[in-house]
Amino acid sequence: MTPPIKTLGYEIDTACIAAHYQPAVLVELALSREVDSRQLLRSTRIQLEDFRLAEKSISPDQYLTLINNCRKLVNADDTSFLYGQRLWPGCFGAASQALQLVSNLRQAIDIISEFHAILSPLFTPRFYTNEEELFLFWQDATGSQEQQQFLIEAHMTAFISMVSWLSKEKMPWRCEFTYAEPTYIEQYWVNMGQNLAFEQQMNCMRLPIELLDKPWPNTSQLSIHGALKEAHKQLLSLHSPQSFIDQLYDYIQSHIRQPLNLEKVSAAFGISPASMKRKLKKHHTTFQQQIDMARKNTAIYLFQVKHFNNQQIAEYLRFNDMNNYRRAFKRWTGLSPYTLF
Amino acid sequence: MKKRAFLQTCYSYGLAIAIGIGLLIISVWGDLKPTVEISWLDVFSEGGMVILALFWLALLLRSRPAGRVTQLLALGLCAIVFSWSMDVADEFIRMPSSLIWHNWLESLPIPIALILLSVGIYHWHQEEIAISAQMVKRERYFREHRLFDKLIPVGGAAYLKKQLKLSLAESKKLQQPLALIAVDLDNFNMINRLYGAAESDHILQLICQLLLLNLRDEDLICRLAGDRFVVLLHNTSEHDAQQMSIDLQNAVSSFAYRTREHHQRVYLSATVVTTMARTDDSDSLIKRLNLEISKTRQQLSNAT
Repeated sequence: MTPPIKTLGYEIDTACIAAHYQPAVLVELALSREVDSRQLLRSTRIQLEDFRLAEKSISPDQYLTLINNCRKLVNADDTSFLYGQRLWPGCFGAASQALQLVSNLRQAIDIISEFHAILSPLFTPRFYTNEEELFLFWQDATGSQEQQQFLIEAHMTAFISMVSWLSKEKMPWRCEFTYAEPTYIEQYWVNMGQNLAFEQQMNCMRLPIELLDKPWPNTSQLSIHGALKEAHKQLLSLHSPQSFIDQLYDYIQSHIRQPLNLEKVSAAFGISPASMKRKLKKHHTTFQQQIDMARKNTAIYLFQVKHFNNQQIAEYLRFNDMNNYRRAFKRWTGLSPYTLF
Repeated sequence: MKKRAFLQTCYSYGLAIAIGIGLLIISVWGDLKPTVEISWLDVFSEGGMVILALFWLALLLRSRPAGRVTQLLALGLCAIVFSWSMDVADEFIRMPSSLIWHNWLESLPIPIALILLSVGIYHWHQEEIAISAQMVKRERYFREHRLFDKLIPVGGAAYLKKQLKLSLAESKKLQQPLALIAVDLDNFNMINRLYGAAESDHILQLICQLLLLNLRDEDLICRLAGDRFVVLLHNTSEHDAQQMSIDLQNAVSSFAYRTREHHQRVYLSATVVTTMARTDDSDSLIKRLNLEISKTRQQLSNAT
């Protein structure tokens, strides 16, 4: 039997990010702040020449090292936000072109989601709606560890800044973060607005649903199709349109109501349990952590988006009794479901 | 920069030659001590002093622009390095006690160095006073370079918060009103994207200069984040603060900026908000000010 998942997604050490795409934006920002280029590229195995030649691909790991160097050397609170402002639509080939030509928010989100391997290789957007609101969750695609907060700041700023640029209006975003309020909160106010919540369960952006299909000015409905076609070709030329961690998450999510174990999931990916474990370790996570995260996220999704109550969530996730559910929930989030919901 | 590099090599060559001559003199008249007689503790402590003094000299020459103060301080330090290195050489070479002047090599440079350093530090003090006069409106009470903005030479949000705490206490004690103005550029995202990051960085620097020109000596300006500035007005009534905020707004909108590359005219405008410090602390005051900006923005966009 062939496994359902044929090509494994990109991993933290797969050379899958064009150095002259997002990394170049960051390098340019750092150099404009008079950072020494040798120090900036230290232990990234990238040369300044690589950006000019525009041929080299680097791994998420190299990119994360570059981010770390940049953070330390520029040493300013606004680096992630400035980087975010310059990120999208960007100059990342046809996908960027398509992004430039969108006619409403839905199209922008669709393009970012479909081409996230090109536009946002380290963080994956996940999009949901209900009758009142749209939700854009941002999920770590390769295990970014200490760079996580930098990347969340950058990606949320990038999206908000791009939307306000293309729509020519300021949207009332609400942003939620898993971490505690940072000392440089002013940067969040200026770049994301003041509707913020910290120490939440997910990194998430929310907006009233009526803004999703509201038409934006200056769009050419027809030329976007050409750009999209090219972007699909661009996507096919990539190693994979998804990261390995994303694939695993998607698989667990779609089988969340079945009993899952390491052997079964490894078989579905066509690899041995040992190499599944090895791959997860490389991304600083374990199989149990991934299962727990998928179940926690599902519970939050069911509550926030679908307005399920605790009884319904427990039933959906196949818990036999509410006590088990409460205990499991406490393990995932550190909180009781009754205090949270 | 070139001048500084020249100076740096000049001092190091001069120092190296002087030390070389000193060593030559000592080695001609003296004779080498046997290894057992060398006191290694002295060698280490005196050698360490020489290295430290060289470190000071290097820092001084790297960071300061050329000029009289730098010259005096550098010469003073050179003399100290020379004298201390003669001290180290003494540990290895014994001089006949009949020679009196060899002691001079060690002792004479020290008073000269101290005189040079004293004169240098005096002029440095004068220079600091002159620089502080230029820094007025950008700092009050204390200086903290680590809290200064990386892009624009004014304090950042952390500096503002510390200043605000002091000012709140002061205004409460003296029963004086304390006002805050926030100046937020309109559509800065658009300027960023149309003209590029380098151009918008330049605009921010110029806008900051422009705002500085329109402030009184007692006022303090800080860059909160991005394109948002906050002005702290001591002993200012609400009416006066309002008037100043209108003046700042007018200053921004009548600023005729042209881009550096193609000399395109960029039209700038700003949203300004004034608030008075009442019973709140520094954090809630800044938060209120920012909420006020969002609200004013909303009202303006609804009105159009």
